[in-house]
Amino acid sequence: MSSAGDTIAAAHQLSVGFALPGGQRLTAVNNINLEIRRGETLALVGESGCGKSTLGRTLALLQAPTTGTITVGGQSIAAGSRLPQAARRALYENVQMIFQDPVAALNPRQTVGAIVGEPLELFCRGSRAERQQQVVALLEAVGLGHDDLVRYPHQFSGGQRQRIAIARALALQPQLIVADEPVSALDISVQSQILNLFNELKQQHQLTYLFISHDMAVVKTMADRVAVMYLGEIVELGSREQIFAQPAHPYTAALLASVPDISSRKGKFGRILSGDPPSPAQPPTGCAFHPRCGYASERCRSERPQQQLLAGDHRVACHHPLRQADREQPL
Amino acid sequence: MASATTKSPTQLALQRFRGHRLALASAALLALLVTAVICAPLIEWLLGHSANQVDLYNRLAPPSWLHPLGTDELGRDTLLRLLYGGRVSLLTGLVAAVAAATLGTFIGLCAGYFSGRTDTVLMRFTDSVIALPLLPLLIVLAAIDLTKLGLSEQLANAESVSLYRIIVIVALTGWTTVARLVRGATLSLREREFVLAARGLGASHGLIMRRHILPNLLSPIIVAVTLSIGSVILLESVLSFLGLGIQPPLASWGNMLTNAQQLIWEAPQLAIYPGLLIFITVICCNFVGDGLQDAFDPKAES
Repeated sequence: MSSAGDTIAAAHQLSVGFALPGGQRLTAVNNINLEIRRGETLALVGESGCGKSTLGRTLALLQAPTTGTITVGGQSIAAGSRLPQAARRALYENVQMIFQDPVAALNPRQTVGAIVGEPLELFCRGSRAERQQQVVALLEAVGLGHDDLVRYPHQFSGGQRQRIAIARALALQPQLIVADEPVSALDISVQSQILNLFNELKQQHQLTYLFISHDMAVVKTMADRVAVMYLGEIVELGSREQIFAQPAHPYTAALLASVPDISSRKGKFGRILSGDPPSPAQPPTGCAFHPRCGYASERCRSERPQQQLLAGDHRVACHHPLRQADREQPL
Repeated sequence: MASATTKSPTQLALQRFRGHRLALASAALLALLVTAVICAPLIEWLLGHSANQVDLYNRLAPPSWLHPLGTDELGRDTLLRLLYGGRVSLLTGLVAAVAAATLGTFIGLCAGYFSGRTDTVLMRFTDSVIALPLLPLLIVLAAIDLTKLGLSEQLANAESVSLYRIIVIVALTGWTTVARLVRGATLSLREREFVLAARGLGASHGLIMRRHILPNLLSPIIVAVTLSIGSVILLESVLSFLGLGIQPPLASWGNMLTNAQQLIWEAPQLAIYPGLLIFITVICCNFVGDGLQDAFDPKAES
């Protein structure tokens, strides 16, 4: 577990919007500041549609930001600017993505050798024979073998396909890996194998993960720090211990309360969320969470909360952050 | 799950195709037709007379050893003319269908991949081509005087020029179906995560289209080409029937039908033979196309 190190990737005042048919604009990511530290696993959690995948894709350079700057491995790119070819390649080399659906993530008409070897080929790493050796090493690192080189994706199970996708993401030895719900399409028994693989590889290759998930149980086993997103904004950011033991934002508390638990009632605060998140095309005034919040006041309806620092580097954007007494007395 | 042997998706599809009896029989029949057509000079040599040899003393003769299917109104051997006509018809069908599909794939791929304004321009262009009244257009195109386009007298009046003309006409008007098909499939493929992964590697548009999109489009394109071969052969026979297609003395199944219409009561066999061959070819192409469609369908897996 790493302590605060240097920053490996960052988003500065980052917004990502999409034009909707009919002239409307949807702001999926709204003015986010986020730093990812070298060697950590930063979990990004939130409901469907909160913009966590968009943020991940933007950091993986798959989505152009509307405003703001992203920095990966010392190379920055501002919205609307174009970098020279060499700088762009350096960016692409430094960040790789792992996707949710292991079926769609692999080209059905390529062999495993071609899939995992493609990054090496595109970045001209070594001769053909050297690349082949590297591919075998990568496959062995994720628990597959030499025999699998000539197989096609359809011959593998979901978990194995995700291993292939991980091998491809590792090929260039990137500084940052963005994993977008990498286990949520897998069986529960396979999930833990893949999560263990993530942790092993992190230690072997000194990786940094941005781990996007909506599964709080998975986040609890994986994360060093947790960022909670709601409607395109980061509402709370803190270490795993802070988030799980002392959630300050009512939304975080509600997310934690939504985890099914039959063993004990201890450590449950807040109440289960009702209703759906509002549309990011028409965000509510003031605090975006106020229509669903049990603590909402008049101020929440009119004034947008700013991020404030609690203990350590625990940050929250809420007018009425939960105190110990609130947590002990569930609503 | 992973078996000991390795099979590519194409091999798997062929394996499934082999289980499709009707399609397999149709493919065999088509192969037989193609072989017979290719062997036409050999049969000509065996029979000892040529396809265009006129014998006015032996008009509309019944089948005999010398003329296995009899002769036509000019005493030409019907079997040989059917074989040579088949060469023209099948070649036109295949080449024109492939040319149209190539053009359509290129346009559809660009439209679907680049989307936005490129897509709008290309697809409105496609719509306008679809909206053109086909038959009057074909009549105009077929009537173009090629010498005025800068072709030499000799080339413009060559026997085979009507063949090339019809291939070009069909390719220029027939690409729209494939273009729409390819565009739709490309639109969904470009959002697939393996394409995103390639983009995340900084792969160029050309490479992504070539390596990740096109191979995954191949099966619908092959199906479309197979199905369109039949309709091109039909179109060729329509045009030839109107006197705009393949020009005699070069035989095609279409112009053989045209010639036969005046003698439909005296010598119905002259219409029946080419008509039957067109029918068989088109229906076989359709069956093979259906079979391929089923074989390539990912839901038919296992």
